[in-house]
Amino acid sequence: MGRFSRPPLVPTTFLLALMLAAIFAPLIAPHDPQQQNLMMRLTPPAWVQGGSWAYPFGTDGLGRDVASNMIYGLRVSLLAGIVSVAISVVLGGVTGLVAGAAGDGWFDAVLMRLVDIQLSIPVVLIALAVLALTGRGLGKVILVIGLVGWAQYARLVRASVLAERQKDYVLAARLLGASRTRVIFRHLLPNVLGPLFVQVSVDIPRAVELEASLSFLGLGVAVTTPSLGLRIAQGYQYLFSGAWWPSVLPGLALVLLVLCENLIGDWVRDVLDPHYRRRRKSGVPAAPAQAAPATVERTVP
Amino acid sequence: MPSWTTRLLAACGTAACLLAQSPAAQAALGDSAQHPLVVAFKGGATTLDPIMRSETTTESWQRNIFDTVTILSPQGKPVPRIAVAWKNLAPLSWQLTLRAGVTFQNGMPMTAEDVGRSIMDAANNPKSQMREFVNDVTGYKVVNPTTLEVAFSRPDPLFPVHLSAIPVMPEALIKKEGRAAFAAHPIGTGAYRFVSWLAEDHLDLRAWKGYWGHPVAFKFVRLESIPNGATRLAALLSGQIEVAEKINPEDFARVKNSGRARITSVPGTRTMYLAMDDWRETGSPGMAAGEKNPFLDPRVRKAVYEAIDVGLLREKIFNDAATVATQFMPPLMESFDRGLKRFPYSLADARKLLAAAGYPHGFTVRLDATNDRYLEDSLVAQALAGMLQQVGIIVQVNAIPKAVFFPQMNRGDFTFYLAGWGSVDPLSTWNSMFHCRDAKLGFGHVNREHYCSQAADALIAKASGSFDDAARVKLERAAYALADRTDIAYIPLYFQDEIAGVANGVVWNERPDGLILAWQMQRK
Amino acid sequence: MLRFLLTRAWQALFTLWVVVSLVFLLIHATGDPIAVLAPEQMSAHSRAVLRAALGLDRPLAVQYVRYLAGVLHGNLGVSYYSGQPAMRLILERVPVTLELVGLSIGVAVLLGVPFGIWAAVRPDGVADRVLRSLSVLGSSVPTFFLGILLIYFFSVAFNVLPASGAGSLRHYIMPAFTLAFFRIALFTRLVRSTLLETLNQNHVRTARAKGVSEPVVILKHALRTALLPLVTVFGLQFGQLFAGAVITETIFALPGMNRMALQALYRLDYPVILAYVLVVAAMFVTINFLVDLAYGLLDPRVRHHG
Repeated sequence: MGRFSRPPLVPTTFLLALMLAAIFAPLIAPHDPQQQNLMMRLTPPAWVQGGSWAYPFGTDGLGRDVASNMIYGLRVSLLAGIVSVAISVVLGGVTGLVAGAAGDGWFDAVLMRLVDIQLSIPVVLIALAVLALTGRGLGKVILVIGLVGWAQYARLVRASVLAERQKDYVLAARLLGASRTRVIFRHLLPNVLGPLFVQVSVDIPRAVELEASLSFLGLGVAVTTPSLGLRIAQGYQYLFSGAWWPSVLPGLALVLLVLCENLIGDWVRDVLDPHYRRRRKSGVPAAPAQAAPATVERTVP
Repeated sequence: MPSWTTRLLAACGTAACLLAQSPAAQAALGDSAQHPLVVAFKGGATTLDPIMRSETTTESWQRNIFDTVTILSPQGKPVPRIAVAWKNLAPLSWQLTLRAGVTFQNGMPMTAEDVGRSIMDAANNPKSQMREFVNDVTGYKVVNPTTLEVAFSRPDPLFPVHLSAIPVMPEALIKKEGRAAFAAHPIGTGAYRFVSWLAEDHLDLRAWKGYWGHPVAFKFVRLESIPNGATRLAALLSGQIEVAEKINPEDFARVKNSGRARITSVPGTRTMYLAMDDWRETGSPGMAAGEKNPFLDPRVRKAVYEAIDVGLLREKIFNDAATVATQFMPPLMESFDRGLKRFPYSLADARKLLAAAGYPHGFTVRLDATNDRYLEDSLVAQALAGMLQQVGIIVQVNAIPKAVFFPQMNRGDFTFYLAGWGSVDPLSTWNSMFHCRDAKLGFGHVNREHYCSQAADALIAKASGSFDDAARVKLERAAYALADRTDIAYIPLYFQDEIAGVANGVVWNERPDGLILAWQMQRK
Repeated sequence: MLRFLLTRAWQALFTLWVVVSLVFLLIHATGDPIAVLAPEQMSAHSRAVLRAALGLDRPLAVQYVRYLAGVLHGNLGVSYYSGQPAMRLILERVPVTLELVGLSIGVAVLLGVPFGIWAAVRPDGVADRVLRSLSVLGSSVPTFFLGILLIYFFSVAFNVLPASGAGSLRHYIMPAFTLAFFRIALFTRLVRSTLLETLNQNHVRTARAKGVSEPVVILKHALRTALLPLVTVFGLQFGQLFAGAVITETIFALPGMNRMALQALYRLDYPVILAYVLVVAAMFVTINFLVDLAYGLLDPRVRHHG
């Protein structure tokens, strides 16, 4: 297929490295991320005067190793991103599929109003309520993010299904007596997967950022769990006094993670974008098309 | 027609001006609305109705417009404000001598009737948060224009202290306008008039010529909210503001070295403490299911007490900007016992005690704390967990927003929690926090872990009726000694210091009660 | 058409009702406002009096009905903390949020559109690559992190910009830029991709063939078509930003409606939370309605299903 069929080398390598670091965190991290050492609090990174290689990226306000917290924090971010999007996809995808397949009618209207409803309720409120009822925790924040993101998938899948429904091959299948379920799974679903993956590739970095934002606000993971967003929030107060590393380094890790995900997501979009495919076929020298951005965001900007 | 270069230079100049800071002119500080004295708080007042919210920042803003009947000195003693003298005539009656010649900012004279009605308003208005200070007041009598007699249902030996929370309001005006309208344009007897405000954001004030007290140093004052500590400090150091409250301990050196401002710090009256379940044998929510509650055994309590190195917390987390608590009562309270020392920090002793109590390998417990209520609350909780781990006590820290913490605490959902208590006086503190719980009589409503000592309660009951200061203090000390040393009702940790940064041109010191009042600020 | 309008109108009301009810339940499940509102010294008796004064002692169903009845009469209750009407508290902070959002979108458009054009004009050129990289970077920096860094550099370290409050235009520079950062990237990419598509379409080719100069081709023919999706996204972004700029308003202490709502949430100030949600829900319902209407008018196929 040429130049654009391979995933971009640098981001993929980095992302794989980050994922491996996250998976093998217990082996790689120099310390237990929650181990405190008040005597060693706010030690600078190793390359700065006063630092030591025992704490390569320095320590935070409680003497916890910043590097270890970053590595374990990647775990939390990746988990949050992937699992929550999976929840959204399943919830939204199924609803959208049913709505689209059922066509117009009350179910469709109800679904669209549900989307409105869900968009109107602030994420922060849902997070606070879940926290109050069940306490802080990674699982809970993942659930909240998953719940908040289903709408875009429902709309997307519904729109795809509605579009595909009109097509000849579907009508033909129906004429030949195929059952509704068969039509859905054999015919509609494969064509919906394309835009779905595109959306997922955009959504995972957003979910990662949302977890960081909620943890930053104190509504996400428990206060001792290493989450990049939480550590940024906890480290911020030391920034002015000169101790930039507890806040900035986890922030850079977060940016790096999201950046890699975005770059790979771009590539996924390029490969799956029907416009692009069409243009390749017609021989137009291509700049890879950037898909229109998702119409519904799950940000807390 | 100016040339292009001139125009370009002018544009650059304007742009530069927009970005640059103009240095504050000392002489003009506070003399005009364009250059007011600016005091920055972390939060902001939520209302200007002076009895609707009992909270330090709100009170700091309000009490420039309103005067309270008395005010506390830096030593914690009540001194005259609207009331110039007080005498208790009988156990159930106090007589107040009021200042003459005080007027409200709308020109109406202040009468004894206003003071009496303000007290009743604070006691009876359903939304009043000042109720506790005048709980036992049943009525008043105006003897003459400057003498007021207040009647009680129970003796209140500390009434003058409590009067420092009661603002004097123009009752006739409030009745006419309604409280909400009044709060939008408040009128008081204080040194400053209300000019304009945006709730929780800023309040503009202007000195009032008809004020009864000393003329204020700064005619124009602006109180604002700058929630972020670092930016609040930056504003102070750059000359944009003159006073910044709640400076982070890390930044003290920076302020001292800046040459533009200094730090003022004084031990406050808020005790940060640990509370432990004192009533459930099993089924305590912070323990694993089926586990016994270890905190019923005083040896376990002492072990936890001795495993905590408060000096280290104070040094490392607060950069010395806190005072180690030797007892629950802060230093300025009348019952404070200078002779008391903390139980020593000793991990060995703690382990011995735990073993003797049947926990040689420690135990696991959840520690609940807020993450948005007290300075460094979440950090302290985590540090405590680290310390207790050294004696085998595994602590799971649950730091949650106050909106979730307080309801759960009130419901009794906590076994082991970190919280703060601002003492007003030893008697009311005891009755709220230490007294055996009695919903009917209203005792012990903050005593969430059901501490109970009948003997100590009896001592306090006697103290509550005693107008002999020395005798009363002796009784109070005896009761608190029982609670602090014998029973270890709570583990007092430290008292937060009240800290602020003050620009060089302003003379002002922090108050133990944390109030920041513009009319107390002087020029250098 | 009338039928469409009526159906959507009653659906909109229904949606609003469901949202308010759900939120009502959610916030009551979160905890007891009196526990947060009452100062620690307040006795149990005083708390009971306060609770009754605020109407919180009634059963949930009764509170709900009373609230709905109030809404129908235009009375959305008063804040537990300031005693002022809840809707007024929200509405008087709308201008600040509006200014913030307006400025950020303005900046995003003013920068994004030219960048997008520039990138599209020479696809795969140096400018294009640089802009694409920057725009991906722009989409990768979390808003709160960017805000923190900006505050540190411009307010704390170098003190050239104020980091909180909303007294002047200067106060909006950093927050608007923080919010705009992601959108600049978005608009750049959007303009670039739609412009690229349009540039290859027949009517543009015809113009070129007729000898029209390239800049005119771009500005007059291609851009007009390319701007349509931009306008759609613009509208959606505005709506989302309006109700979503919570962290930005919080970090920069702007007295906007989102920050008021967050503060209300953290202390369980029910009337203010509900007023906020009503405003936001009404906004989203309206936006969705307008979008659907626009599609309905533009695309005849959809109209029948509308």
